[in-house]
Amino acid sequence: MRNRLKVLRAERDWTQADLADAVDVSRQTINAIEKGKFDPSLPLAFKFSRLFGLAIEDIFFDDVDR
Amino acid sequence: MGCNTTKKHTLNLALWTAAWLISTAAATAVATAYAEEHYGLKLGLVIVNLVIGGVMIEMNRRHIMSLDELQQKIHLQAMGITLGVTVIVGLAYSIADIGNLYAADAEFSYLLILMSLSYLFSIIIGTRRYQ
Repeated sequence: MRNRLKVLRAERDWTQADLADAVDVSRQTINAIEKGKFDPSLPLAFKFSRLFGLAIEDIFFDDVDR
Repeated sequence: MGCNTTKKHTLNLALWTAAWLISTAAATAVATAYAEEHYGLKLGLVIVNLVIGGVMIEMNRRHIMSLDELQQKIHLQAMGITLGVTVIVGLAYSIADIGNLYAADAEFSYLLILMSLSYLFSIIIGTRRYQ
């Protein structure tokens, strides 16, 4: 699964640590999600959704969708 | 849970693990020194060791629950690998002991060392994999 977290974070000038604090996970977890090495759970995806004010499918998408 | 909560649970786990190690050392030392006497003292130290060990297990559970989902996944994989390595190597070690394939008697402490190293390296490899 791929995502736009890095772009969304950069648009707000946030560091990985800032985003990690906002959704209550470690910076390593944010890094792994951004690199596509780890897929977040649905509750964590909803946290990102609320934080950025976007639908989950506007942040995360399957490789076959693009 | 937040980073501070995780740090608090990690510190609690470290303190209770240290307490368990000290109680284990004390119980072992007294049991070794007084093999035929001080029954009450030895029984008391074993009970204290078990109680502290129980608290340590609960602290470990809380520590795992305070981790985020990626960290929990890394620990879960490490536990699975450690369980497999311990069962497979432990049984082979036992069979080798029964068949007198080596001179010394089998020691449970060797399995504990194997478990610790297996868990440690699994955590390190798992952490590096997600970097």
